[in-house]
Amino acid sequence: MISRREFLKSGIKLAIILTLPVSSAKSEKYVYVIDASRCIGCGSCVRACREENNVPEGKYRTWVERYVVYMNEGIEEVYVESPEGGEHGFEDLDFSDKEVLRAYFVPKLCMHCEKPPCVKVCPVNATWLTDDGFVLIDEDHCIGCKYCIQACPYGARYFHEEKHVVDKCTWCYHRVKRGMKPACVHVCPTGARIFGKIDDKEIEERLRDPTIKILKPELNTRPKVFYQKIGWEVW
Amino acid sequence: MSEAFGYVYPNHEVFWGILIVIYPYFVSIITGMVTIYAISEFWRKELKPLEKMILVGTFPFVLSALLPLLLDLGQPQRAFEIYVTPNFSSVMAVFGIVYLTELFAILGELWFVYRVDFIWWSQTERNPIKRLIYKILTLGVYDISKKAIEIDHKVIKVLTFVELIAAWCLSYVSFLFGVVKSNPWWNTTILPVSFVFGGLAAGGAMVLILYLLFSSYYGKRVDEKIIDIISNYVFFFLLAAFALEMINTILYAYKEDIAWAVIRITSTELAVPMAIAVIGSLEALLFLRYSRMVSGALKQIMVVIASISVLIAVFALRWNMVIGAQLVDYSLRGYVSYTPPLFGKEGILAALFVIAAPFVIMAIVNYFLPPYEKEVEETEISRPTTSVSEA
Repeated sequence: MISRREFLKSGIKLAIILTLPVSSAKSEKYVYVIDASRCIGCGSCVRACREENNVPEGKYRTWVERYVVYMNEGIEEVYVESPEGGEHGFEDLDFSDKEVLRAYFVPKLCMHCEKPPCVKVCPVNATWLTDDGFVLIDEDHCIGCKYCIQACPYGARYFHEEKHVVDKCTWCYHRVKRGMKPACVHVCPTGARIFGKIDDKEIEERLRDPTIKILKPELNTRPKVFYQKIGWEVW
Repeated sequence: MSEAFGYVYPNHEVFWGILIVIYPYFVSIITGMVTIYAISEFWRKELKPLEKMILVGTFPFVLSALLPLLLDLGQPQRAFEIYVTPNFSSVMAVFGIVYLTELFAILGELWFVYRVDFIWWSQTERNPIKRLIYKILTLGVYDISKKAIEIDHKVIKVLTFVELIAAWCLSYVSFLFGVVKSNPWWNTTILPVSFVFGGLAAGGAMVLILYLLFSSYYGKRVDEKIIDIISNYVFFFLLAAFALEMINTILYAYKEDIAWAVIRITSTELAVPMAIAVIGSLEALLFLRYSRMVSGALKQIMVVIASISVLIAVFALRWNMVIGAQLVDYSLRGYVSYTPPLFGKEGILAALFVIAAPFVIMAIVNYFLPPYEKEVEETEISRPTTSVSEA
């Protein structure tokens, strides 16, 4: 039999425990990892993105670049190309007369930066960073000043000529919120594109790789797209 | 209208065209004109006769400054969102607020400077519509006592100060470009300072041209002392702008960082506007210096040539700042060429229309608010004085 005093004490303790904010152990931040050594430059991701998001012809929410690093008179030279954003794959290149050091494909997309310069310059708050790390645009609010396009160092934004507003990759926010992967990740035949929360097991393992890179770190934009197996020539 | 050379990101193009060149150009002219106005108000009493004319000249530029921006917007009907949901970390949003400050300051200044004239015209004007307009413009205030005019002058001084600060802040519109750290041609500390000096020179040159035009229109004698004073200011402003632009380019070339390689190959695209800016500036400096040694018609011709050269050179500098910087791709591996189209929203014809806008507005403002009285006209009744010293 417990006394009335003890009963009240227990009741108060329980109430305090129940009203404490529930902190989730898991982080809600999403990140994107690209393993360049797995990319075969097939362009499936670019085509899937266009179809999923109705991206206008000639504009790209994601694209694939090909890098060829070769020796030229004792100095490393870099050849870069992205014909039609790599949407239809890449043709063979003839570097037979040169000493090729390395060659690989690098998918590019919006970096969904933690310190996004595009968000900083938008005069009307039409683009913003969500709590779970997505940089989005409200197309019903954008005034089409194109200032954010100028501010993005990664060339990820474009002007949508039909809607007269700025558009860019959303990491397929509409799919992710329904528990699916972004279209580009979903169709990648080799698993070069990996998407998930920052403490997902696979993501966590890849982020432990000491050679992992972000693009243009000197600009302090803190991108959330991480790259594995790329050289100094990618920025 | 752009073609890529080397590797450029697939979304890259020249997003801001000729309209966005005109926008900082107008802002530059406003800064210079307002500064000359402030000089006449606070320091150089010899320039007092220019005050009304500078106001009549500046107001149309302030009204037109937003025109190129609005035309460039994808959704111009949403422009007002800048005031409704402003993002204060955006230079463009802050520009909106500074612009309104400038507009209201100059409107207030116009009213106080012309207040006594409004009263006079509301009683003497023969055209009934104009008389009614002047009556409305008096806002029902008919006090022209010495005390009231003294208060007017105090308010004018305060408004001039606000206008000057706002105009200089407007001129720092170059921050709009300067804060874009991704663009190597914009990412330089010198840019805002050289922009202000270029603006001061352009505004001063515009004042010189307008002074000669208005003097000729109203049949007034040109005061060579006024020309010499303003020419001197324009000379030193231009010298500072030119020196800063050159230092910036030389520093870039010497440092040879990764962006320089692209800027260097892009230089073929930038060569023509750069040559115009350099030759125009040097020629203007020469003419401004030597116009002091001559007098009469020759002096006026030299000053007009120099002023037009300054205006063209500063336009070329703005072109290189806005268009030139966008030619360089952020991949820093290639560039695009750019030729403005003739027709369309971003075309040369649209640009000419925008450039003409302040002059059309100026003719209308001048019709209602003439800065001088025509020398040939004689009034029967003596007109009330507008300055304390005269009163």
